[in-house]
Amino acid sequence: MREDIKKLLMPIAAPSDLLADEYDLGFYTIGYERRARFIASSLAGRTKSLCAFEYNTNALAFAENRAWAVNQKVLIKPLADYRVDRESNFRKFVAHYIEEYSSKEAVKRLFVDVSSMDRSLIGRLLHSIFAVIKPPFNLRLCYAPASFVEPNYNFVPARECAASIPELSGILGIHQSSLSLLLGLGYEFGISLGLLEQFEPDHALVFTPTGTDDRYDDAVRKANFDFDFGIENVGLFPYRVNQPLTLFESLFSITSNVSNLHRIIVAPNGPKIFAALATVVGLFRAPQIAVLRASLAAQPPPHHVEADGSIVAMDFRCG
Amino acid sequence: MSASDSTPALFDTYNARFLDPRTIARSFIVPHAAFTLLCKNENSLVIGPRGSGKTTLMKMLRPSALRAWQHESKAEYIKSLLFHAVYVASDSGWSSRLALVKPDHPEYKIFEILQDATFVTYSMMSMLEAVSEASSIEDEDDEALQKFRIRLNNNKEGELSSELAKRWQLDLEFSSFRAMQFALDDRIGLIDHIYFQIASLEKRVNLAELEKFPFLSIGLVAAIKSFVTTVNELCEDADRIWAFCIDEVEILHPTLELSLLKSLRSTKDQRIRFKISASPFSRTQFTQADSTAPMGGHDFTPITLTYARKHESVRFSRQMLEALLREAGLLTSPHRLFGSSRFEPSRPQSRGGKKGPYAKGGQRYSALKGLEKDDPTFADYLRRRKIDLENVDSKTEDARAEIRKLIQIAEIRREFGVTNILQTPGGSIARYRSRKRIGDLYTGAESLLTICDGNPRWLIGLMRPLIDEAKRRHRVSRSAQARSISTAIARFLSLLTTIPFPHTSQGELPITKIIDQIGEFFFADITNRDFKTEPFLSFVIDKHLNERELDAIGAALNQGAFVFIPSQENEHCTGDIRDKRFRVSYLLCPRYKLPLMYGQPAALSRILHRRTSVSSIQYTLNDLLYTE
Repeated sequence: MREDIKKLLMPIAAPSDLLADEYDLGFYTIGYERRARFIASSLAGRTKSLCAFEYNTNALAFAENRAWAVNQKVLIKPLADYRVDRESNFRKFVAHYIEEYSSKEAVKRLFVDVSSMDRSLIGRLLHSIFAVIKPPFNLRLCYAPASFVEPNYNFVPARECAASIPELSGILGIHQSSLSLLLGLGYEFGISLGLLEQFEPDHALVFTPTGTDDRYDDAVRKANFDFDFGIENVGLFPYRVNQPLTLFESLFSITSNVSNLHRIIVAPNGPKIFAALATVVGLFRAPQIAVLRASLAAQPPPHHVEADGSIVAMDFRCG
Repeated sequence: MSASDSTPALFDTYNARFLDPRTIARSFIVPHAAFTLLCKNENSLVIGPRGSGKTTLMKMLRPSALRAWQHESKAEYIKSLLFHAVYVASDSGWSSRLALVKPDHPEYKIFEILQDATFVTYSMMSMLEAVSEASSIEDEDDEALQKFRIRLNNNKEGELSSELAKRWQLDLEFSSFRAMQFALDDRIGLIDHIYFQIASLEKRVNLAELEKFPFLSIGLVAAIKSFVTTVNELCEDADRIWAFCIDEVEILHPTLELSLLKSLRSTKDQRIRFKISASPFSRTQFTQADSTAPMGGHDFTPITLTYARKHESVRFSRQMLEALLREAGLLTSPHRLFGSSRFEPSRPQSRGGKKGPYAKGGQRYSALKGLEKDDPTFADYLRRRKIDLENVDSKTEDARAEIRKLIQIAEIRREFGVTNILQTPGGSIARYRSRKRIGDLYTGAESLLTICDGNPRWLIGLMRPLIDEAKRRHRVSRSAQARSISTAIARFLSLLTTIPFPHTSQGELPITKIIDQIGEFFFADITNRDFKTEPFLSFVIDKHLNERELDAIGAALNQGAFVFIPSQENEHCTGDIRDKRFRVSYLLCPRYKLPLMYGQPAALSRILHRRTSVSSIQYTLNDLLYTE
């Protein structure tokens, strides 16, 4: 993240009524989850231009999401090679889009809906925005929680575990520096345990999400063996999905002691809002902190993923 | 945390990597055979899955650990040590950097070079640390430790720093170890800088440009040799021996891993030894035609940290459990806390008028007699072998060897075999056998200790909740033991589910389902209509398995799901697993209702490639956890 932005960036709670605001532009995705277009469709009437990153899939609600985007004249950008932006094409695209559609004089107002983005896309997009945008701006991170469907509690194999984007690889640290793992918890207990096995941190803080539906909280607990990892040096850090500012401040504060002596790795599994906020913290503290993507073998869920009707949001105001 | 100390205890943390040697020494339970071999003045390869104690063992060679260690045989171990240990750790973070690019990407080679340089720089730091440690030994320390002492005054430290800086291409502000430490930290910072220039696309870096940084070409062996020569000259002890203990080479990129393993080959330089720890399976292997490949038993001593035979693992686990109990303030024995085991009663003979297990009414007598009554093929076996169960008690332990071997199989057949029929008003039905339900067979001190398979991490994970219960109730119920076993298995299997699927003749098959197939095959062989004294309980990786199956099985082996069974003494398993024999880890045996032993081997392809129905491709939580 550029120094001029770092100096001026202010995290603030988004207003409860997101429809009261207007937006120059908004980024979201076209994927197989039906909730992928929930925020875009909610804010479309208040947004001058929408840009959707399109995944290469045909599963579930993809066709209807795409049809809606075409109908709304959304700028559709097929995704390719965004994780390592070797030719800077992604960054150039974002720069051009912001330049073309945002206000030249007043505060630029944009939103990013991370609900259906993968962690690398969140990393690449936020990294690009912070690299090219000129203050003043108000960046609103939005997330549409899914309505609860009892998960099938499947254990799915891991595909890979690496930095979400190369820029968030974290530093090497001095010899045998201590290591903390900040682990966001989703339904994938095996992945969480695997990360603890792989990195063998001398301390791990597991972020356990609490939603607005008790059934979700119970399911997370059940899927994670009652948060029992069978080891002692793991602390639990409960957070509320619908209070992103509190979560951001916690992440920001916990990572303030990162140094060559004390490395921090964030593995933001679980709700994408956690991944987005961890990414902003990572970019702010770059290159000190590593932000990972620990991905599963990709497979669409057996049912449609619907938004529960609420929108979780927080703002990053700059200048 | 230990109650008496604010420093973390080994049992509180996940891994010994981040613990200082003194802390490790306080809780070190010595695996005698392995540690004795490691202490020898030879190259060594320590082989074990995750959590088997490789790091602890390596760190215990350091003088600061030996100084803090309290053990009756400590002096003998120190006496046997003829070298100074330099402990070098690898770091998982390095591999996640390399995972960002594929081997055919232009950056891959650069990232490899950067990882090599990182490793060499950390090794240099470790060398400095070893000298500092040796110079901190004082007159008050044990007499035995004095041989590791290096006497350094300011002049000598300056001279050493200056000479090493020259050879390691470091610019020092002043000549001291501290300045060297700073310079090495700066070098790590520079490596980071080059990496992030590439990663953030700030600058295109090509291979030729790396020549601007000559330190990137310093190899590990060159760094080591210059260190040994410089320090030995300065200490006026030209023959001083240094052992470089390199931990977890499997984390490193394949080329570096291979070159380090090559260093195990005997060299003419008698001042240098390598002690390397690695997982049992690796895709990085020497080709058969490679004449530079080191040979186990000749160039290096293989040290395996898994136990094919359980008496060694149980002894080690018992010591570890006793230490855990002491740490928890429980002054009692495992047997008193957990009771006896049906599989392996810990009191083999009658004492003080009590009935022995083979006496009429004794535990083993009842088991065998019950099976004799219900299982005609077992009765027939006894008849053929002229074994009269009424007389077994009066025989010596040696004479009872044959029948002792049968007890676990008998217990399994009695509990889960076809003869175990539940009589109901509507007729007879075979008793339901839930994979999730852990029977009492596996509870009791001896079984619990066997199940841990000598793996410290498993033992700690399994015992922690039980010790907590013991603190409250002074005795741990069978149901609590079963629950803890069930949770430990579920936790372990959930970890194994993350291993990517191999393609088998049945399509994609998760490793957990492969384990299920193996377990089911063994179980069927034991509970078959005909009683067998040597059922299939192990397997051989045969030539009919494909590469992806090998990868998946190897990954599971590295997590400890399978245990290598050597066919002869000194045979070891590293790299290639083909033609090797394995058993299922005892931790998993309760899930498949298997005895805690290994029988005869079956070809793995025979197990995996037969037509069976795999109920579902993936595990769900409900497949794993048993809740009453």
